Amino acid sequence: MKLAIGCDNNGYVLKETLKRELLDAGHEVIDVGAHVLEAHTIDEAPVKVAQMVAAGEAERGILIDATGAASAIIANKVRGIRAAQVGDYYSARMTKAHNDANILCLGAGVVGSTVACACVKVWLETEVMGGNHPRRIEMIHQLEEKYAK
Amino acid sequence: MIAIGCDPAGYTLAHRVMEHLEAQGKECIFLGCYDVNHSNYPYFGEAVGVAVSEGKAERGIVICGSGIGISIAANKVPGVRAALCFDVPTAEYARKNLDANVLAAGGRVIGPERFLDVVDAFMNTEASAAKDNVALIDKVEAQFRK
Repeated sequence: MKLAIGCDNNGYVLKETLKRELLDAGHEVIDVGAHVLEAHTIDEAPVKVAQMVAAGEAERGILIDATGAASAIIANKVRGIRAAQVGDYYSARMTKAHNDANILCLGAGVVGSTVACACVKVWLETEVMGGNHPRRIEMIHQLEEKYAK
Repeated sequence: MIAIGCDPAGYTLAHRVMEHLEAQGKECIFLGCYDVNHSNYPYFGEAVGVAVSEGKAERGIVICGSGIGISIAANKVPGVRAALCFDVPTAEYARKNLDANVLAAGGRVIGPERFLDVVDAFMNTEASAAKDNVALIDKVEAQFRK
């Protein structure tokens, strides 16, 4: 799968770990930075990754910061993005199955690398569920249209 | 005023949170769901988001099964900064650094006693270092609403 990955300074170490795991698993990874461990504003990576996913330049995106909250708030402001802030295996699985989340947001300050890798793996492997769930995803699209200028 | 919304998977936890906040003298407004079969979480995420963005509530709390779907919906409302918090440090960070105005949680992920500490942290932490980050979020929101 073609994945875009990005982080701020708080997520740099975990981003490097996840990138290596993804490359080892055979995925194509576009790393939008941060490429060095120096201060970055919270919006740089989320905007880049969200734009790439929304434009179809990457199938899915992964964002890492201190808690995952900043990345999720910012990425979700982009139309077509459903960014899931995740810190456990169950939520990582269910957000793909129920929400078809196309960006996963992890907090390096609150989630260790083993759990983070497991979350990414199960999110990549889980299939979207049918039933009522696609209708609710459509409702999210309608919110985006409703609140567009 | 604190606006609270949930789907059926978050209903029990939402009411426990409301009891807890009301016992502290905080006023809450419950915006649904009212029916165990009404599982359209985007509807309730939007309702809480709008209550906060229009200033009818200072903060919001949204709860679904994982907390993710309802927080995505809330974040689609302009002016909303919804953070999913399962621990006290995340809640403190989201308030202090992001001025998060909606707290999200998953009723199938976190138990009530653990979550009430998160709620208290979210309610009692000031947005003391959030000004620049909020300006960045506002800029992104304006850019992508077109």
